[in-house]
Amino acid sequence: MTVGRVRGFLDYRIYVNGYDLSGYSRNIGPLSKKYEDIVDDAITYSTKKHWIGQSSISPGTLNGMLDDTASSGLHAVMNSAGVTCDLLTAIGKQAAPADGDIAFCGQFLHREYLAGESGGLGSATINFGDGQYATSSLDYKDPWGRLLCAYAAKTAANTATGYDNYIQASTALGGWMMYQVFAAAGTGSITATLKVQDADTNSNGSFGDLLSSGELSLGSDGTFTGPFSGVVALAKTATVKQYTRWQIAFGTATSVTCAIAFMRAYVA
Amino acid sequence: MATGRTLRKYVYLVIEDSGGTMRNLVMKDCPAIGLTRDEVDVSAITDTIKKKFPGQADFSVTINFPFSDAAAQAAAASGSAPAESGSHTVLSALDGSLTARSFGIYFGMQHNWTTDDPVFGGVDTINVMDYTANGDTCSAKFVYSANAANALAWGTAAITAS
Repeated sequence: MTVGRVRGFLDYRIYVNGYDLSGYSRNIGPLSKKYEDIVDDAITYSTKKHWIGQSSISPGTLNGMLDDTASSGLHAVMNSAGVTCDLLTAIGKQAAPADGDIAFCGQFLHREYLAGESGGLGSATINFGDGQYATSSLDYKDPWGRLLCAYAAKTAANTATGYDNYIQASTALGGWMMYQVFAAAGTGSITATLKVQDADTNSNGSFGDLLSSGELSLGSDGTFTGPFSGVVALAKTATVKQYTRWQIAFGTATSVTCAIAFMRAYVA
Repeated sequence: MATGRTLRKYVYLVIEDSGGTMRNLVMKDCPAIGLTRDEVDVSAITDTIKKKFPGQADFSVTINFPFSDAAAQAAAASGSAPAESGSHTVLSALDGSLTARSFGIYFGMQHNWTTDDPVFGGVDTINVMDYTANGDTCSAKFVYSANAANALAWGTAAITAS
């Protein structure tokens, strides 16, 4: 992982409901968390004061190419609007996203799918809602997190060290994980459990489980039946140790191609 | 210390991070910085010229930054170039907090900012909200906090953490 400045959308990857839409996308955004700005202007104040009110989060608009490739094309995946979608935007620095890079995630309303043309090329525009999908169980206003596991096929448990957070200390405001499973191989129902682990010291033996997807059945008779995606949240008073990393417990799966992000809450 | 005019390349932002340490952020543009103020029109129809009083002041500004997760660095000393901390590193952990943070915009005058050059800001004055990223740019809104302990003002001394 490189740290530093982002080149722009060249460094972005976009995953929705277990589909990698990056190859069909031109840009996405603005990726925002907005607050009500409540002005406190009592007559005794020489300068108006501001309170921070209710938040709303949005990935803005996804602009892409109209592509009807069966099963995985943008048109095939996204033409049914009015539904919820698990969105993971991974953001690298001067390269494709790697483990430890920036993530922006949420369960958003896929509000509109509009086809047209842009620069002569058939285009598709997906407008996401301004807020979280109403039936989502998530109660976090924290879309920004860390991409613990960049898109990759994993065949063994993680023994690497993890990643520090931005305040370089543990927190006690909880957090949540998003996972996207793009493919898997194995036998039977292809079972695997995707996890986020945390530790006070950044060494392999110090990490313990923090969040778990629970055992996922990713296939049937050895055939992948996904894609899959989901979220798992901690209690909002849960302690999260300083370092985090991804982990996979392989059941009957031999390979899982996935991305995992963890959104640590910094502000109550 | 030089006095007179300056260039935008000598302007940068200083803010207290969520851990209470002052950090330098570099900006993509230089917004109009200062207190805005309501204008109270007290004119009567018989006045030859309209009469105005100053009303309440306000501070709310949105600033654009290079979108960066570079590690946080200790703020530069007087006379030194800004020690850039990642905008995402600092601002994403401050966004939405009601705790007032120290904040300043430093205007170096034809050189890196030095004590006695202009500064706008104050100790424990600011909240950060609306952190947003778009491509290679991120932005945040800085407002005068309801929990501010001090006034925002022009000065010439470095802004310190609380």
